[in-house]
Amino acid sequence: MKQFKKVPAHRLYGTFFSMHLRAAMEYKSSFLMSFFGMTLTSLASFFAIWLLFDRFHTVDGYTLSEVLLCYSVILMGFSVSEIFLRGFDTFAGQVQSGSFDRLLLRPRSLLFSVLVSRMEFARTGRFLQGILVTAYAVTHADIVWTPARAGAYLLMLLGCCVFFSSLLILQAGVCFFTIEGLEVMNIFSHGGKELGSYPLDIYGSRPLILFFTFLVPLACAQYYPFLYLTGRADCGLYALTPLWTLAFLLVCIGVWRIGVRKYQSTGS
Amino acid sequence: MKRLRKYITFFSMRVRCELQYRTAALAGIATQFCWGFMYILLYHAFRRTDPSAYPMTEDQTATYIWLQQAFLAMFASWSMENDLIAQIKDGTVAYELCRPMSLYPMWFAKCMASRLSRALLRFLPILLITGFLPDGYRMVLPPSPLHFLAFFVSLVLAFLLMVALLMPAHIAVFFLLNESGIRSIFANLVDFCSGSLVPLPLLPAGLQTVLSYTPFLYLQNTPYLIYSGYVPLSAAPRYILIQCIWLCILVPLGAWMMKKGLSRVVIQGG
Amino acid sequence: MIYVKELCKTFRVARRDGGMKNTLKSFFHREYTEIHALDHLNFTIGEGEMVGYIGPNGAGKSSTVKVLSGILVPDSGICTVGGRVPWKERTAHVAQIGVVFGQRSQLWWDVPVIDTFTLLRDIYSVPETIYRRNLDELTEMLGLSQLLRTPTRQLSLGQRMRCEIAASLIHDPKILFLDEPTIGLDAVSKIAVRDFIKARNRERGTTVILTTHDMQDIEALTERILLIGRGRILRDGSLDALKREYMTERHMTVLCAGLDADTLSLPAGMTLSESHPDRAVFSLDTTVLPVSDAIAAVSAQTDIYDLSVENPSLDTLITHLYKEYEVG
Repeated sequence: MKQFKKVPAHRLYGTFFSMHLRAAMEYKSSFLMSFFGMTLTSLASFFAIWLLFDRFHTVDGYTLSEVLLCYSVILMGFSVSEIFLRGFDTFAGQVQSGSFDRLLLRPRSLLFSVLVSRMEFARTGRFLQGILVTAYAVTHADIVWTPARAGAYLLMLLGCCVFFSSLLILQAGVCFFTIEGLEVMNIFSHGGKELGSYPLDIYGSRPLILFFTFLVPLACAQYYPFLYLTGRADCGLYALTPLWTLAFLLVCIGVWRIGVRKYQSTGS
Repeated sequence: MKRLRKYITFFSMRVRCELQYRTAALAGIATQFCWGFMYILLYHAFRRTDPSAYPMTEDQTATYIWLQQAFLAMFASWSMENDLIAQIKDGTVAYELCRPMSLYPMWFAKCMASRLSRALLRFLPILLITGFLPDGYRMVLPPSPLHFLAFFVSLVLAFLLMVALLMPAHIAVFFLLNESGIRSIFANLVDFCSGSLVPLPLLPAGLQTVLSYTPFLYLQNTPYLIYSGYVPLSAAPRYILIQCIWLCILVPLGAWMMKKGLSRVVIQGG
Repeated sequence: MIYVKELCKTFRVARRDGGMKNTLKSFFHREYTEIHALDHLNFTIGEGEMVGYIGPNGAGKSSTVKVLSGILVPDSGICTVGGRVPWKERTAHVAQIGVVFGQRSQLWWDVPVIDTFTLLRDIYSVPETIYRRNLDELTEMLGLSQLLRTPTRQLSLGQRMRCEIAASLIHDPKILFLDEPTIGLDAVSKIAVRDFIKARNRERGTTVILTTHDMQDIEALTERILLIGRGRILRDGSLDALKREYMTERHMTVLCAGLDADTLSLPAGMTLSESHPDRAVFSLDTTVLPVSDAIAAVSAQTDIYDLSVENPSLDTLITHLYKEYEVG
């Protein structure tokens, strides 16, 4: 049988990207509504932090701008995963509606097919807000910027993107085993987002930090590089911990693959 | 009497539906535990930093958070009745006009039933378990049985008030034909102003005064503060009275809005 | 082309009984029942065949199609399609098949149809020249030229189905699975779709497997029928043979000068099913009594003005079949 030269994945991704963009633009008013709605959601939690600092000024020695630095990097990482991994975020629905069966009929890797199946541009509102808050935090925090620290910040941002993306893939994998129990995943994704709005040590719980270091590496993505950034830790290794999220990503993809195999053998 | 039975049948059907999803209930309880703990740890951190600026006791904070988690389903601001919204959007709501029941009470009851049925499964385990947590994290008993009584009355009123607020949010779909924007505006507004994001006593005093002129302060915030004694028992009747006044304003307002919305459907030809 | 031997698949389904008591009970303890969706299934389909795959709901139709298209992995048994095991070489396999679900679209709702086609071109890595040729051919045969620039949401159901079928064929699949391809379509669109599928099979030698409840589809398209029930093939044969075997009953309507039901004498194999002053309906068993004898018997007793003989519908045939095999 004939075999054609494969269209490379990055080109295909570009085609999907522009299709999603055009489809979203078909409903401009609805798009704007969701865009502002999304912005509002994170605005409320931003306000909450702001008002708490209005009353307390610091928390465990951290200033408002330091906390906002934590908050904004998490917000950006979270929204990147929401924009680009929407296919995994809405995966339970895709399985139930049978759209996933359609993807199984495509001669492409499944991970890729799910990745390009949905994109949610209305969530860029949150990302923009993240940038604004970052700008405020960076200009107001007492951080002596060095090339190493700038690099650490970029790694931290990357780590957060990878971390939340991994969680969405894990969530999609878990939904092969239980759709009802999926809400538990919110503990890590939305819970991680809320927890990570502050430096993790303010919660005063060691098990919590250990859990979020070794099992669900939120601390590696954000807390340790944050310590390095603000000069609370000198060891360069602290700046490199976000790389550990890549291992987490592989584990999550593994779980998802196991889930797909189970789906193909039970059809549910 | 006969009409009441119809509502009861509907409610028990909802409860049965919910019971089928045991994993969902367990997952929900587990999730709410984690959220509760997270918030308690956070507020304790602020309290440690500046005890003089912190208006509540540790017990009051923990109790406020656990009550919030226990009754979350009743006050969930982002969950709207999807089948009602679908009815409005595709115009089939016009058929509802042919039924012998008036629509507002029917929708009100539906909204109550789906919230209560979800809460029913979850609130007891949460309250029971959190009663045995270590000091500072424990859900404590109210100072007196009278406190509990006032809490209960206020909780019922707050719930009715919440549903009365939800009605206009649903009805707004008649006019905008898109619920996602309404949902996020409504959810954020209610969450922020009713204390489900930050307990209201922790907000700046000026803001609290402003909120006391809106119905939001009298949602879940009021019964929880009465329970823990943060609002003194002597002030409770005043809060309960204000809850009643808001109900008397919002229910007729919702019914009126619904009439307007329905006339739109009829004019458009459904 | 398609070879299926002793294919088995069993699902486990949670049992749910009504009533508050049972619901509460199942909250703590759940019972499961096993369903044999495929129970030692056997058949082969040759290249270029058009096969109607029929059976009542829950008989195992969709499980079979899922296995053949590589979505579902069976418990045991052999299945090869074009020499490949579908679920083992998924991507290579699905590049050679096209699937149309009558109730599930693969077209993008909000963008013009042509954009979905170019996307599919890239997904299936179809070279531009071959894509052009296929697209022109499909456009011409299915009459799509006016539709390609329109967003899917603005198309009628019939127009959409034509685009849907084109989308499934843009990569030249050797095998086409059609699941209820004419459901909800008006008469004109139905005929257009059927004609196209026939032509495609004739000209390209595409193997077509059709699952449907619409017996007109089956009659128009397929010569061979596979009847499945309780996970097994109950019957494998031509539609004509089935008709000869099961459609032995005829209805004969006679317009006449007048018949007296009481004095009427009828040969064996003929009964009066309706009687009016100037009209009578008889049912005939053609295995016993040829139609010509039946006419002779009536005309001997009255003057016939007009007469018509009808086959019962194919739906009746299928109902008979399901009843005979105790499925459905």
